Amino acid sequence: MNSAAQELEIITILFVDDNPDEFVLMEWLVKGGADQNTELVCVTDIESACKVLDERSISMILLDNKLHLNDDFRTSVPVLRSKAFTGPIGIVSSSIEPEYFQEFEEYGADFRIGKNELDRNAIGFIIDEFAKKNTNLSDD
Amino acid sequence: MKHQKPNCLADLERAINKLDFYRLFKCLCVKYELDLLTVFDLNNWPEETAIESLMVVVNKDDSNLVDLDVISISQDNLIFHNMRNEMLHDMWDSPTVSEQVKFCGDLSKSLGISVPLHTPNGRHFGIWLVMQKTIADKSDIDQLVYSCKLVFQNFFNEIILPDSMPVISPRELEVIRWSSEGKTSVEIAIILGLSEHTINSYTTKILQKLQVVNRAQMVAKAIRMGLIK
Repeated sequence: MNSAAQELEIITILFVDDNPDEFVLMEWLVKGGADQNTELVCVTDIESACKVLDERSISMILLDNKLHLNDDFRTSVPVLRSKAFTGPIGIVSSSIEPEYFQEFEEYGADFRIGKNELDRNAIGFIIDEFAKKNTNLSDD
Repeated sequence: MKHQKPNCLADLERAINKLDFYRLFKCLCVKYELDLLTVFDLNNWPEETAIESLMVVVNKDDSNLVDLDVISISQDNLIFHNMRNEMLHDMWDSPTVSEQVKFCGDLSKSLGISVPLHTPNGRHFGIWLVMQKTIADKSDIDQLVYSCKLVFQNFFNEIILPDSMPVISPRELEVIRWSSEGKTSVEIAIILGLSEHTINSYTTKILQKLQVVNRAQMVAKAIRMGLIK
């Protein structure tokens, strides 16, 4: 993809968090952090996220770790992957201290980050590192 | 004085991808109130004036710094000469800093610190730090430089060095196996329940480890080496 095409590319981020108050903050972070066009789609549960994946193309998913009291990303990420979503999935959590976060790759996630670490620069880094299309690796 | 690992780097041994190291460098930015921390790959400088930045961490939200992914540095740049050729870090006051590193924007009240980093296998990197002059204290700076070197050492071992070591992990082996079945990155991602980004990262690492240029050669070499049948 050339640079002109990259400029036209819209990064669509699906944000899954059971607390809608977080949506406004994430909208602000993404708008300020990305150096290209972005669209943020927000849903509060994994079922709605799956529905979005069925209906439209998503560049990256930011997933709250604890959508339900007894669940965490170890159950929710495989559900999203079962929809044949092959884009990056990042786990956002108030704490990434628990030992099971170290196994995030085994469950199909690409990265984890604490909510207190998220600022516009971090979002910019995440988009650059994970969401932009990597076209250097063809399937030949 | 013996330096100690600061508390903010408690996660150092748990870092496994570039974002983890971004987070660690960001912790240092917050702790030492740095405006900017950049890790440069200086292996081709000064023959090539284009410098690749491996990591750019900015510590202020209203920053309007220019894109530092690739910048052009002339051969007579003193700061980059220090990082490329010297062993000890150096500090740069504002007139010099502003003139030598215009890409950092207005640095009239800032102090720059250049930290040379040389690896045992002869590769050259450097960390460029920018902080407010008023905050700078010698013992703090020594501790900061030590901390930066500590994070970089792990960054090098975890991110840069594996690219040059021919040790194939079980996951990478799975990618080779599925590639040998003719599967594309997307198809392998679906099969393994991972992202295409992760599969491409694995494939890129495999290509570097096996010193091959494409997937076909990767599969052929893996068969020759007995990695797959």
